[in-house]
Amino acid sequence: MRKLFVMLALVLAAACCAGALAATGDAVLCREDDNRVYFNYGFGDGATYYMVSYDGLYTYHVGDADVENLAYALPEDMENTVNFDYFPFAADGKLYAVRLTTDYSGAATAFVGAELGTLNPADEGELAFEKLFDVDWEDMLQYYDNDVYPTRPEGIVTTGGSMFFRYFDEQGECRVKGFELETGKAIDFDVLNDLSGMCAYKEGMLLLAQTIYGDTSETLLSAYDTRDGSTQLLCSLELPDYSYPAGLAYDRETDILYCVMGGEIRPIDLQNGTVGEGVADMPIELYSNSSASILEGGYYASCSDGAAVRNLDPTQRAETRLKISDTTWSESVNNAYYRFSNSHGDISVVLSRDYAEADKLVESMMNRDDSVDVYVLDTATAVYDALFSRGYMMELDGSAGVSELAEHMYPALREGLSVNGHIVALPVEVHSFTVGVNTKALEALGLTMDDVPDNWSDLLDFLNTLGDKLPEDGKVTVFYQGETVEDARIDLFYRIFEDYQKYINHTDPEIGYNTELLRGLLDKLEHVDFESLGCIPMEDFDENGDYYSEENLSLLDLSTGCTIGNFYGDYMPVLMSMDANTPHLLSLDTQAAFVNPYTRSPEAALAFMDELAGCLSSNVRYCLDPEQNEPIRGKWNEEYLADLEETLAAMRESLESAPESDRQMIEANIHDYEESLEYAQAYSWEISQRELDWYRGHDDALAISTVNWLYADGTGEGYELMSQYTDGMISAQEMLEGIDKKVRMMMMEGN
Amino acid sequence: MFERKKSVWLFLLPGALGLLVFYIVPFFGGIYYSLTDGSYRNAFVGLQNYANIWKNQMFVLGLKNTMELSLICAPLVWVLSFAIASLLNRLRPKGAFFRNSVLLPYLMPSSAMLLIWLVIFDYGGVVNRLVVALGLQRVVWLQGAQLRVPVILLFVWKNLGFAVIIFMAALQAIPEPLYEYARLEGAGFWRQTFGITLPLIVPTAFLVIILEWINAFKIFKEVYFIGGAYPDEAVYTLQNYMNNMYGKLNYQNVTTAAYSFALIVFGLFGVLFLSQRQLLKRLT
Repeated sequence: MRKLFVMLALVLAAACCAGALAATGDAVLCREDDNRVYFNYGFGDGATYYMVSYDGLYTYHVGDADVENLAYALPEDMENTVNFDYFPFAADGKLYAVRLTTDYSGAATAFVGAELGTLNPADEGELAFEKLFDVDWEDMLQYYDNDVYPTRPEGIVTTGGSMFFRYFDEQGECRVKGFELETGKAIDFDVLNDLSGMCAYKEGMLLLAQTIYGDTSETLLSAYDTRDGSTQLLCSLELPDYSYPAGLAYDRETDILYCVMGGEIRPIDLQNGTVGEGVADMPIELYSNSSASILEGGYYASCSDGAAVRNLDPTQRAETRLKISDTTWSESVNNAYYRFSNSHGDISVVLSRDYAEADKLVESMMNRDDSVDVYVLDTATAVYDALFSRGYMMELDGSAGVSELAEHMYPALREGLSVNGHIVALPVEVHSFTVGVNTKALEALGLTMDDVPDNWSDLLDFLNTLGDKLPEDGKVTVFYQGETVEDARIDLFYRIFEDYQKYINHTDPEIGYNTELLRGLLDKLEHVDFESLGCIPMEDFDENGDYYSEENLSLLDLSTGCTIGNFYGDYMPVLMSMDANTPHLLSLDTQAAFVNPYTRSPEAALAFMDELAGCLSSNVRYCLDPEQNEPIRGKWNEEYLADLEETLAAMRESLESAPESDRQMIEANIHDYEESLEYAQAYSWEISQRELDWYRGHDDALAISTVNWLYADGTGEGYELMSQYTDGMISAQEMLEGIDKKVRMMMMEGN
Repeated sequence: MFERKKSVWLFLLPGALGLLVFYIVPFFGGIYYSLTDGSYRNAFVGLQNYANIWKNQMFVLGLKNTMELSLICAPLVWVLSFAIASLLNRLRPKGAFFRNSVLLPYLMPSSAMLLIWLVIFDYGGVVNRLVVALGLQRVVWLQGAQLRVPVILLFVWKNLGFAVIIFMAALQAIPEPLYEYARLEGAGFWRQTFGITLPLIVPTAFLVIILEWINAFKIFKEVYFIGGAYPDEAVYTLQNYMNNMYGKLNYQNVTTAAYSFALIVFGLFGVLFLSQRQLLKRLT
């Protein structure tokens, strides 16, 4: 009896341990915290997976912990102005590459040639190219004036002793081309419309995917036989809502074709034309033309997001699943996803970008749908407003990280994210835009920031006083260089209108649009003399004209960032109220994450939110927490500053011993570098004291952006009326009456 | 006898099941929705939803417009249908053509009628030409508060025929000798109408007013077709409100609005029935 109990205990212990382990072989390569290598594509051969980046070829041997980076050895006789681009691939245990050579020495860029060759180990950490053939690249050249550039091959695939890739010709048509590896002979295809992906298939065949996008997307999968050039349609996949199979890869051992959809690796049944249930999550963002390989039971993929390996055995997948739906493409969510995924091997985490999930979110909540655990939405959408006001967000008090952040948050912001005193949403991205004034342009006009009004009514009057102050040589303009009168008027209109919408949303939505205030502002707008402000009348505008000069200054930027970490150049934000009697408002355009109250894994979801709170970018954290006040230098800029200083020191040293003929050139270079250093020192801050001072000085006006009622119904009637007004088809009065009627009713109805 | 009773229930079962599934269960389900907060906890909130909805300006506006339109349309249809039925009754049996003609709009699909109405009431349409011929300014009938006019006329035109038929059936049931005696006694048309006709068709009259009132409460698709989900405030009805709330999946507001209105209608018709009973008592 005792032995039986011991055996049972051992079995139980083994089962528990097995459940806690990640699927064997799962890994994310070349991505640590926020750092990642941007890969163009990858390919596999035997037990090695290769990842191609701009700075070389990365190799990963199955089962290894590390990734090795190999550089391309430079030919000994190469000219300084010649550039080589390598596009490696593998076939039958050998490493090949297409090498494209361009020459920048002349007045125009010239294409030198395309070669097919092998890559062989040279010195340590290097690969040397050995040419086999010149290949024909004539129909893959792009011409810009006198410059000639070769088109880069995409998605290289090898099968049946040939290599294939796709490219876009000058007419924008997608084409596939190949070269035989033994002879270098070109293989041409007809135009393949809607080609979305391709991969090596069985018996020397090439599998092609063509996707026609729409409310219901259709993907046709065909097999091209390299032996006789015939094509056979295998099946047609009907997929919902602009979906497509990404990262196609064929497993020869199991005869299964895999793809990535909705953040998961799924098998495709070629007999029935259906996509099966997910066998593993896929942490990196693959696109239709992203390449993938299957080596020793693992799915390998690489793209600009990094590289990942996943075990394809569904029985090894973690039982606990966590699905995150993020259509806002938040970098904070991305980083949290990787950190959480890597530290929680017992949870399979899927990151989905399915817009359909977000669109029918209210319906899903009404049906108590638990398929998604965490959502990320823009707070200014009707969907978010409906969920927030109806209480379809789980309280986040159980997350220590979120609770701690909430404790330190500005009260106005915390209130906007809380229901009945409990925080229910976590901001992951915050932005706000306002009018920006170029301080150097202001100085050139003999003005200071104190002269610039901080409300729209006075600013519109102020604009009409600037015409006399602008220099005749056009070195200072009020709007962007080369801006037309019509464009300036339209840009200003939309800026005023957007600020007005935020004003009424946060004060009293029932004020409406057809008000004396807004009518007055639009009336003033119509009396602004844009031509005197440097704008070009439409009839005088030359589309091919070159109006930009680096030396010239533009006074206003109508959409400059005003949150911490988002200031732009020399522009100082000016927070605008509507007139002298209305309050200022710093409305934060916010993307927020919240937990589905029906989630089957509340602990995992809260743990993820914990991780997310810890992964918020510095600028988000600083915008939310008034106690964060230490400026932060950009980490890339520190290296850049050090490089600049080192280069300057070397130049100054070389100046001392330089011959007279070279001194002028070296001095000019030193002057340029000193300017660059000065600029980098001023603008190398990720978070500068200037931004902190401005933001903290306006933090009494902070608010979370709420639903934009004008666009909430999705009919586009609001846009239509505004377009008619800007096109001069209707008056401001007619536009405001049309908008007001509907929007007021929508606001009063509620959500 | 016992077996006969058992088989009766068997025959009643399908209908009873249908009534249960499609009327009774949704009815009580709706009450449940109207008493919960609609959040993921679905907490019971008592009459809070009712209190909130009566504070909502759009609900109140929709209710007001619905009542106003029904107060205009129902009596208008009643008076006109009675008048036409009386005239057609006098034309018997030669009035068959007119009888059938007046019923035709009732049989036409609403969307087809709406298209005709859009043409007729267009800015350059027949109605405005008539208005101009009378020396007045053209009116934009299909926008703003003026939209009430075509909506009311459309309702009257569509529903007149059915009411006429009901009235005609009632009028034909009045014995002719009564009118002969009245004429012999010197009673004129109006005396006969108020002394004989109306008292004898009281139940039918009440039936017509109730039916037309119910139909008037349902005025929506004409307004929606022309003015969209958010037409002018003068024609925004309770159905617009409920339709918009349904579109936003706010079932709490839909059901609360519906039951609030149902209570008002019950009250209204309760008053009507009581009035009818009193009137019948006095007449008999």
